[in-house]
Amino acid sequence: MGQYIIRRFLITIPILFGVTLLTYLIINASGDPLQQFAFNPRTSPETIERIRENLGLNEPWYVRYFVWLGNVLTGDLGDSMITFRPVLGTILDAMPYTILLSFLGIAVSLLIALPMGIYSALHRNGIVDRIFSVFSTAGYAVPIFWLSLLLIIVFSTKFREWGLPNLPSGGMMSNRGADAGSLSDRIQHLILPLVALTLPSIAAWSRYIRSSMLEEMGQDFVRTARAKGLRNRIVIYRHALRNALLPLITLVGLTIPDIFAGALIIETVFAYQGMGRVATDALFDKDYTMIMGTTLMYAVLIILGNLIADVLQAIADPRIRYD
Amino acid sequence: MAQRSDTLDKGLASAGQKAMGDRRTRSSAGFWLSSWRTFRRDKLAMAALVVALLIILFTLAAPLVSMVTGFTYRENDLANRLAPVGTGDFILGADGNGRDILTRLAYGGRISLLFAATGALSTLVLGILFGAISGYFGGWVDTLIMRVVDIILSLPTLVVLILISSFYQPSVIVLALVIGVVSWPGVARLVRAQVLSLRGRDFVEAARVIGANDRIVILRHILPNIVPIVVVWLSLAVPGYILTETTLSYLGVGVRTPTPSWGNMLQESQAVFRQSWTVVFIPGFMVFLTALCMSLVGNGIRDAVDPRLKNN
Repeated sequence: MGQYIIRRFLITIPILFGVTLLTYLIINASGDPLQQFAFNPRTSPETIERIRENLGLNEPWYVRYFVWLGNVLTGDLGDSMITFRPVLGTILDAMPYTILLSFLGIAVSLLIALPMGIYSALHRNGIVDRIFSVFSTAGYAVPIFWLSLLLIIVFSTKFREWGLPNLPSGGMMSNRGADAGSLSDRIQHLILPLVALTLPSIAAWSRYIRSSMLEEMGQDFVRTARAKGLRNRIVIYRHALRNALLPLITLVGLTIPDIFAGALIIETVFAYQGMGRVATDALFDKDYTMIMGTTLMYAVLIILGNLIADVLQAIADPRIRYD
Repeated sequence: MAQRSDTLDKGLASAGQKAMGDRRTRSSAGFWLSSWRTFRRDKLAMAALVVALLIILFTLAAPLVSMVTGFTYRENDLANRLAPVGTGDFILGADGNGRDILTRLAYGGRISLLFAATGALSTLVLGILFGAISGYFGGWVDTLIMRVVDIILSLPTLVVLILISSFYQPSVIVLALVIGVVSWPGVARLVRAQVLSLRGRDFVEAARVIGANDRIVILRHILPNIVPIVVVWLSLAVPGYILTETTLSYLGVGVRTPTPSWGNMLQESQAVFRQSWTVVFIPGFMVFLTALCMSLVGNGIRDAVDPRLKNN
């Protein structure tokens, strides 16, 4: 088991190397980062050369890549080319907000998808199952930011017009007012982003749990359990559900990239200052070091998510061989 | 000789499959006909198919729509800015620049659907190519391709797409092809697994014994058998690509104005959403409706082509 985790961990090193090299190539093949100054009459060629010198851009890209990589190994992701703040610090400041949003998203999705999936499986083709089925197909087809905009229009703008209690349309907390920055204020700001973030995963996971549950309910050991005369509740929750949940671990692990992508969109719509905002700002500002930093950080989070899912799966399911 | 061995192959292949009780894996005219019959009985999928076809027709007839409404997609008239639904000639109202929404919807749909189709097809071609090579040849080729798959799967796809789009400003078609480059691993894994299981089947063995080379085995025996699973994947993936276009355009790195797309119509609508909700609602609803109908058609195709995958 320990050996499996170590081996699984070692595989991630070449993957991270490949991810960073690929990103570096994409960025640097696009041309000179100082091109933007070339036609600026206020920037003399000497100034451009000095900037180039300062940023270490006079070396060929592969030298720069290995310099960058060497620094990363010592924990130094460099400074932003726009704000000159350390990349690592900027990312670490923003990351907790994204992690909070994503993990709350996963937790809320599971809390809602689980009962939905189980109920659908136990009452297959009933009226509720059909409603859930329509809901999940629709949930898969909704553009997440369109949903966010509609939520803002209804629950923030229109509710205020109608004099109903309304939710904030963006940001992480109120700027003024008695309870600005309080826990309830922060929670209110999280409600709409969470609804928009969780809808697609609730839709997908509830269907998955349903089919996984149905599959287990048809297994021999379930029939045996029933034949032994066990109570229905025990057969369902102790025998079928436990096995039905195993593949869900991997599924949640595989969905992590989607959750981060969803969080990135939602952070843009709701002006939520997480990692997604840092990443998109860096991309639009062509902040090379910041782009490398955020991409690396996303890759680490994705790989870590899958690693944890694989290890949990191996712990939960003794049938999995560790080689 | 080649002719004869081919006929023989077919005979052996179908005999092998009958023996395995797996009548429906090989794609042939009869297979698709029976799948269509199953599909036709699925009322929901048929209704969705009709709506999806109507939407496609609507976008194809964009010049006609433009003639009927009397507007072009880029003609703006600030006097009619945000004209509500049904005012004057604006059947679905006007957007924040005073352009007719209905006309833009038709032209925008063309781009969005073209983008989705190109993205899905390029993913498919790359996925089948690498998946088949990986599964069939195995060994170091397989290892290499699977390592590349691991790397691409660890990339934050959306970030990479924004990166490429903002650094290289590719055209719509090129961007759709790039999406293929970053998303083929899923299909490749699917195809690889299928090829691995087919490679060991009796009919492939039999074809080899007769003297079929790699090319013939792959093209005539392996590929036809992965068609059903690939068709199912395609029909379920297209709606996802429509959403990708809207997402990228929404972030300002997809289709660029003045060319309309459903995504950038939504992006522009964000600036005026407090003044007019219909400007936000209409393009998003088109995306939703199209993606929904195509998913329902996809579900129908999945159930018809491979009843074993049906989730009840």
